[in-house]
Amino acid sequence: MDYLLDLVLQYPLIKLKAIEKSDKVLIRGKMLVKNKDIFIALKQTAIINGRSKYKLIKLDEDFNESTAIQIKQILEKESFQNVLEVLNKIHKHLETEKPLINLENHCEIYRKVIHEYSEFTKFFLHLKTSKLLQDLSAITASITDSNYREHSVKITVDFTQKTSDIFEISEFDLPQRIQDTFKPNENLIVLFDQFLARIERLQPYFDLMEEFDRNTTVLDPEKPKRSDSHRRIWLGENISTIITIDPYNVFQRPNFKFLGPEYLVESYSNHLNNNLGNWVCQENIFQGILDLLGLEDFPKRPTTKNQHNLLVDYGECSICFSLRLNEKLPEVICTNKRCEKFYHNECLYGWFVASNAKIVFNAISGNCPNCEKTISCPVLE
Amino acid sequence: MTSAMSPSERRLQKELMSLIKDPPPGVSVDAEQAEQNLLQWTIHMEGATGTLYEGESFQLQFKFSNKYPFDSPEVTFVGSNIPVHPHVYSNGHICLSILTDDWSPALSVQAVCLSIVSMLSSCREKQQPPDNAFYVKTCNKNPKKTKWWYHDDSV
Repeated sequence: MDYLLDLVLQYPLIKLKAIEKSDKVLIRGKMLVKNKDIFIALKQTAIINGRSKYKLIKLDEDFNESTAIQIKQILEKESFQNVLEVLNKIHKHLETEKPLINLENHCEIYRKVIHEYSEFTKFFLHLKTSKLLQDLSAITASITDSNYREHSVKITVDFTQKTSDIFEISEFDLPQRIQDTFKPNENLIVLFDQFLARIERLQPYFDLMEEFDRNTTVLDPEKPKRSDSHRRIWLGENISTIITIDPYNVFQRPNFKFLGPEYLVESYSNHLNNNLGNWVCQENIFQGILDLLGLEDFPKRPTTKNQHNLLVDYGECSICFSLRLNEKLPEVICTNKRCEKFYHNECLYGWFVASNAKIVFNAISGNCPNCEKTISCPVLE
Repeated sequence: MTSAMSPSERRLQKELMSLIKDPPPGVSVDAEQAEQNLLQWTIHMEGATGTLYEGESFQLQFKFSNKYPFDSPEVTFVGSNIPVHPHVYSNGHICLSILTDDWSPALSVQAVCLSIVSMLSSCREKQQPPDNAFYVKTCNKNPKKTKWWYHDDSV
């Protein structure tokens, strides 16, 4: 792995990403060719005796088709020790090629961006931060809402000259709804105003989520973002609930899902079902949720429990020893009351397949790796 | 590069950290070597006090495939001192069912070490396996290729 430092030094804008479920990587980003950032994307396709084959996925449009074909041919013929070696080879080749001369005239857009930005900062005097990027390609801004929460947004500028609506909200942290995504606009002030209106509308939602984060032991998400509209909340040593809120309909009854051994889940579900009829569209939703669950307060998880160094912590998968696998939490729980170990569906299925377990319809069953009692999980595609 | 770690590497890393921080009594891992190559560890093991192996120390080698924990680790005694035990051959191979047929992914390096410690501790007479000479001459280098016959659980 000695080459990694050189890789970062020579190609700081190149990113490596592992391809899911394989030992190969995707390589994408920009490299400097003749003082210009050139976009490139490669895929590692095979590893033979420690040397790898790569395939060109995309080359910057600044180079014409024939250059891309030449690179493809080089990659087909050769294999490489590491990522650095293949990038060096491509870089050397591109340095000798002539890029298409493609100097567009962006003056019009530059003028408009600068004008709009200055109007924007004059109009919204309560902005917390605001910044126009040096190359005028984007604007970042942040603002504090009526409850002192900070919200930031990134607005990018479209230089393709295909449309007059050059400003587009590209990064923000709010729950999304398909029916009202932000549309590009030619007026920065109008666009930002839409963003503010959305924040205003979501105030009850933010309030409720913060109430969860303050008053309950949240197991997941680890670091909740504003766009995360669910919380997995600790109810006891072996039981938790996932509460999902509709951000745009906070006062509606939320969705509950209980995770834990059957007998505990059943007792909570029964409670919930008995109380469902009493739900009224009330001002204090948090209290409403407590009433639904028949709780005075959400229990707090004792912190001393975490201090000793457990190899597999509560709720973690007993096969991969972690909580999250591809963003998923362990969802299968051994039904043996003395065991109650957690497993990711993927891990347990993988073990059952490896140990030739029985498949019946859509479920596969075998012995619990911990207690050896029979358990089953859904078959994965 | 943490994002590029496979679940298998992540688990090994976690096991290693746990073994370094909180090892079972008499067991310690060569951290530096394991950190360099996560797929091959050397573990030092002390004979427990009050047993036939008191005062002796042994070295265990763990080799993991990239299918770990679905695939059991390859565990052998290495180094100059191989314990004399009815289930340990003089070439370091160990006859222990959890290392092959009875392996489960819920087991861990720590669990395997504890099993070996207890296997040694319950021994009443230091003695090589009866078929040692023949086995050592004919066996595969990899003990997992051996078709073991698990005779008894008493030692």
